[in-house]
Amino acid sequence: MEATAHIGIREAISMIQENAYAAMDMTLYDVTQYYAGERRRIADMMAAAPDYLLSRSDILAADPSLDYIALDLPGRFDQTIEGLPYQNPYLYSWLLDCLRYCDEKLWGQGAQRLPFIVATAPTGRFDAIALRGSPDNGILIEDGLLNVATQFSNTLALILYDKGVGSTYIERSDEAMLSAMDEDDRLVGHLARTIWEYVVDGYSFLPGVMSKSAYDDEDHAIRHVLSLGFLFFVFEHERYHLDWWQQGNDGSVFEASGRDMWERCKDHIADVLPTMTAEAFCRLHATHGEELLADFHAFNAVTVLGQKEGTYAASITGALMFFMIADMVQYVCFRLQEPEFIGRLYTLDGQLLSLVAILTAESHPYAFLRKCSIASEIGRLLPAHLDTLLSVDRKLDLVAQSVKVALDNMVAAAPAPPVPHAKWAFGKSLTGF
Amino acid sequence: MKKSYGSTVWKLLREYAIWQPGAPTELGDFGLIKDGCFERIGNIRDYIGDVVIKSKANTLDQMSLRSDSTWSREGKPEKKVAVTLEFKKNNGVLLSAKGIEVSSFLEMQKAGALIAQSPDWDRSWFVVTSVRHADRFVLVISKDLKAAIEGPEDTIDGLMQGDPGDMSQVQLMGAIQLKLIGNAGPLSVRLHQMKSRGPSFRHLEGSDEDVDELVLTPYLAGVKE
Repeated sequence: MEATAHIGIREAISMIQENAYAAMDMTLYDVTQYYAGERRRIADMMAAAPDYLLSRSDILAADPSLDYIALDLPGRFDQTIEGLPYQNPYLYSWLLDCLRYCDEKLWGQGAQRLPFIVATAPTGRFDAIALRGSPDNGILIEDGLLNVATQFSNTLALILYDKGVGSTYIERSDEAMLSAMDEDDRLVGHLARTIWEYVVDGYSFLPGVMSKSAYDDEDHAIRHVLSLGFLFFVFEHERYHLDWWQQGNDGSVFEASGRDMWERCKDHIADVLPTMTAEAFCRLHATHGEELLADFHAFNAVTVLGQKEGTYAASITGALMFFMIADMVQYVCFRLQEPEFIGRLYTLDGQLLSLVAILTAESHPYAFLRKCSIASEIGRLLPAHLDTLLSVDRKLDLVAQSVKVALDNMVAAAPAPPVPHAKWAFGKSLTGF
Repeated sequence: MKKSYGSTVWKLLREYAIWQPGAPTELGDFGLIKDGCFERIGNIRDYIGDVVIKSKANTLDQMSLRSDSTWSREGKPEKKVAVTLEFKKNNGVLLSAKGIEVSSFLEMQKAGALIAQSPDWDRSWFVVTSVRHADRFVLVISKDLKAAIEGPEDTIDGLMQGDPGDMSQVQLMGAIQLKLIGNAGPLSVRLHQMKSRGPSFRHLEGSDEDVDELVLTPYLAGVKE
């Protein structure tokens, strides 16, 4: 066979999407029929709540720069995305709007960033993937992740904040937050159900119109800050990878520390995983090191965006929500498949936890370690932000503890032993190679 | 004519037309794209043997495809109507089909891995990974910009809505290049091609650095008008 061109970035994205859907027994035609159903669902939702979105004139009165935001939500399904037949058109256009908003607020209009193609797929990883190409690059996000984040943003806004004067929100004390969860167990129940559906059913639907809260008579618009903080964290993380590669970095900066770790651990590794080589170990170690750098960069970007927008703590909450959800997805997967590992996971020290992730060929360090790494770097380089980070993290952790109890109860109450959806097994072999 | 048909089918279905429509075509066929249409050479079974490649069928709605055009409908005596089509370009296409089912491979990479083992595979070939089949279709290609169709109201309306019925009392007027009436068979396909994976997947979990590994890749280049 003679050599021909490599796969282009759109082909690479389509191939990942195709393999991801095929793992769920879905053809392109199943996927497009599903999008048609989603279009009808959102059209019905908009018909039932015509005031759900602000009018164009209200939006422009508040911020004249937002003339690009599409308000015809069903209409977002009607565009053809060239070269990406599997792509969800709604998510595509919504992501582009969100990204443009964050970029323009952070960097200013017309700022030059490395371009990339946005895509989504049920990859079975609570994550996004940066795809390197030439001339295009791509960032592909697990599609259910965005809906889970929106569900969490909506509910956490009700748990974490009281409405203040005008458009302000007041963060609750730990006690007030815990008592809000006690008073209405639907809040924690909803978070647990969202994770459950995502892991077991494989998907989380975009929430419907936000209902009035049990506590006051407004829609807790701060939820949008949480979801945007989450989304921008994910994108900035992946953009860091693209920039890193663009600059010609090959991971050699981590070589010395990888070799050092290998030398210290190789006898133990030989006992538990004799097939592991020094080269493979160092490559995974470098990959994990790059992930931690990307986390730190992304967290800083969200911090600066929050400062500029006057939403500092809430934006950070959105970013840290990523680790909260990732940890809970992992928790349920382990709870269903390797329950004995959960106890050990939370007793391992940081270095051993890092080692376990490398030896099990995880693409990233565990969520808990990633969060610790950010806190460590913030404490070292930007200590003024550390108190806020730790305060937000403590609150999210309190919520997460309650959600995990609810998830344990759901596992115990399940009539048949539940198993994670097929797509989670697919996560280890995205391209089908 | 063939090119116009191929570009119309691509534009409206994002699939490659089979030429001629209805020509026997099945999953795993391989061939070339000529004048915007797929032309069969053989089947990958010749290269991969009888290994089962998992597939799935989807039943789809009836369809009525037209090249860029406007049309008007005029009532005639005896419950007849005439539809006048004005195409933007010559060789305008009207394709009406019902009873549509699409069969698709689900295990693309399994097929790709098997094909990659064959030293004789020509990488310019395309593999059919989906086939759109119609139980009944009517295809009209008009040489001139203007064409007219006249006949019983139900039949003409059905034709325009993707429900082609008994065409025996329908008259086609204008310079009709091709008319295929009442046929059944495959209409269009999706194609994949063997390509080397390149550096794009470097960041994927479990992915190694073998940029030259061959994989079955969706072919999305399309057909230019």
